[in-house]
Amino acid sequence: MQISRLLYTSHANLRASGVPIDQQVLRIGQAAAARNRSRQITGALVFVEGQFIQVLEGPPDTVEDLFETICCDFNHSQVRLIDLLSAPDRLFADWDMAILSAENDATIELRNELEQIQFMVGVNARVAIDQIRSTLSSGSLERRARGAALTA
Amino acid sequence: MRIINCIAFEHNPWLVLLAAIMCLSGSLVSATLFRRTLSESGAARLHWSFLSAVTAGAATWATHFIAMLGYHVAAPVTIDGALTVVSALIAFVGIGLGLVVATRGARSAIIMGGPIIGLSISAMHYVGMFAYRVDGIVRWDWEYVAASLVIACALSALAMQRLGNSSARHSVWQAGALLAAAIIGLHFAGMTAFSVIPLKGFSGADSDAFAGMAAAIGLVALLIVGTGVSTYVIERKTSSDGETRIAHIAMHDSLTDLANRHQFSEALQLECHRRKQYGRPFSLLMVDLDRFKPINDTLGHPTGDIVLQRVARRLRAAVRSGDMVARIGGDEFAIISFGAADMDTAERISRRIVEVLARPMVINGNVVEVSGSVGMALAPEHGEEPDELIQHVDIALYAAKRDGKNTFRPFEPMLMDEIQRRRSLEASLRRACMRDEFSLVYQPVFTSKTGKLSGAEALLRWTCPERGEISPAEFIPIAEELGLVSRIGNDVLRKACKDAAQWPADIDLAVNVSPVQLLDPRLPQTVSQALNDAGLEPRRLELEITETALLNNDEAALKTITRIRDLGVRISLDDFGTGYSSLSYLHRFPISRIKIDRSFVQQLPDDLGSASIVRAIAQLGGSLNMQITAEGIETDSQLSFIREHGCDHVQGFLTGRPISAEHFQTLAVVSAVAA
Repeated sequence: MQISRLLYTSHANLRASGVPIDQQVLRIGQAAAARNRSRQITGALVFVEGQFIQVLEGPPDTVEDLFETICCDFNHSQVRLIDLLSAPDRLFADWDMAILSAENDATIELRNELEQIQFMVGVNARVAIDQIRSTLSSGSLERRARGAALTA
Repeated sequence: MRIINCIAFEHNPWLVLLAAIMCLSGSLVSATLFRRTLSESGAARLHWSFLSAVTAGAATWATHFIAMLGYHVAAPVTIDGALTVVSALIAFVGIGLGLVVATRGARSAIIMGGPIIGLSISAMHYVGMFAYRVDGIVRWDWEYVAASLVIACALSALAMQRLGNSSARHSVWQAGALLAAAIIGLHFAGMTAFSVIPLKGFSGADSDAFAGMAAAIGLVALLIVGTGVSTYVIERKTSSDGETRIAHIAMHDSLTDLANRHQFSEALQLECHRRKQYGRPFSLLMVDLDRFKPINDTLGHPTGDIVLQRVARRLRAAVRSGDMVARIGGDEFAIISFGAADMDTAERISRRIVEVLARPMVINGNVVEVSGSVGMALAPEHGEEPDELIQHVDIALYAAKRDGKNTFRPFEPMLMDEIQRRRSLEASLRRACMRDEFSLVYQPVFTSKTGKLSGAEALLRWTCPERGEISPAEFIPIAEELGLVSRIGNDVLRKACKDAAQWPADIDLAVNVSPVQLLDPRLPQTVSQALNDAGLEPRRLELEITETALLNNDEAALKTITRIRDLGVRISLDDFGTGYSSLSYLHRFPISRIKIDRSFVQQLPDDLGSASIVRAIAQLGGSLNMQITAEGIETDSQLSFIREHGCDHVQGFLTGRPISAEHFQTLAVVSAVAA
């Protein structure tokens, strides 16, 4: 069965509360991961320089519904759909929603890598998706991201 | 007096109380069912009559037996089963008959229905009394029997009268109380008429068995009454569910489940009224989708419907909780923001709406981009009455659309003047078409090398009797919207050809053709007609088109243009450099001239960018074998730059302003003589 893979970007309208941004992003991602588990959605959420870059993959109808729900959300703005394609396999089969954040406790290497991904999104979306995927699977990630990446 | 005696001393007070409760509740249920029956018609009336008769009959019957249980008699009592059953049947059938008669009209309900019911209750009572076998000498006081019948019939008739008058409040309660009074009155008057002188020595009757049987009968009767009650309640619930659903359907748009226009109008009316009473302000927003029609046209109506559903959901997410979102037209939505008093709040909501509607939608693998425009009006600042508010919010929406769409605008009184001006311009323009208020002026075109007059471009002028000169930039878009532009354009063509036929043969004519005209496949016919009528050689005519005309319909446009070229008429590309300036047009279309837009020419020779663009276009023209005209020449330095870089012709205020047909005629003749 073919799956849909969708990439979009948006700007976070995170509340200026006492909660550190990293924590807020983590919570968003964890909530998404919990929801996704039952909906056969997998993917990754990148947070860099106030921007969300998210990949969603799953059954086409479910991806469309989920993206519509995301479009009804006012916690972000300037939602831009970058890429939508049909694929035979999942790239993020191991992640309900992987989280990659360039905030506080990210290492310089991770931050550089995420900034590169952010740049690549504007140039070639498919290459950007591959970069997200390879950042996730690089063995040293756990150490470098120190908990910023969550695999569920 | 004897009746009170009878109740007080010959009855067990607890059982009398129980009988009274049974009687009262039974009567209320019966009255409710009776009213329901009276309001029915057709087959349902018979069903309801049956249900009511069984319930009311059982209630009176049970009352009778419970009361009989409480009756003290100093003699053993037994009961005749067959007669007891007959008494119950009399109650059911009699009440049923009374109801069927009563449903035939208010008068027959009182005169016939009520008494029939009263008589059946009485018959039930007395047959029940015959079934009541007591060991003693039974005596009947016929005066009380007669009184009991009168009481039963009169009170039943009154009860039916109350029910017939259903508009009166509490009519059911009153009717229930009257029915209860009829039953109780009958029973105790009847029991007063009844007396027993016990016979000593005779025995064999079993009072215990009687008590057991009476209790069983009472229980069965209660069950029947209970069934009647629950049937009524269920029916009532189902019908009120149905009514709620119907009300929902009537007030909501079935596609989006938003409030519909009807509910919106009512809510707006109510809110205006409330504002006047309690002073609570609110805002009214009007949302219109910017690109809905093309979506419907290209992706089909089912996709259009999904778009509308999603728009509805997004709007609900964008407004504050409690705000009313309504779909009031195909792709038009209205929002009442209750209590939103100031422009800041209205703007915040509008900004969210514009933002959320501009986000993409993915529908069945298609990416759909819609956007919305929002108009805002505040009550009472921009109006107190619904009509006024709607009119003003419409104007604000119009302004948002005009200002590029995908945005929001508040109502401003100034907009009214603008709309007013536009409306009257529309009217004047229609009239101008009829009265021929248009005129043509001609701007001379010169050969840049020699400075010799080579032709003229015909320009349209409109002098409105009320407003004076109106610029084509203002009235042409309106004419396009009104569908007048083809007609105006064709007139221009005819008139210009006629004028040009008077000029020396080496002076050419250029006429602008609008994109709308180019869409008309009859254009080549119109052109050749104009040439024939004027007697103008086709080679002297040049039609100026813009790139926009080619943009969307280039296949159809190519066909039309080619046919015109085949007449011998030349085609030039106007305003070159401002649009897409796709080089493929130059290659695909039979274009013989490029006119460099004035915006580049006017920045010559100092602006390096413009200078190189002009140079490049001139070279391009040279290599594609096209003529080049530079428009908008205003200074000598511009003219010399153009000359140097090989533009063939020039046109502008420096070389010659647009002049009337007569003046141009003179100019053309003079220059021919001078040459």
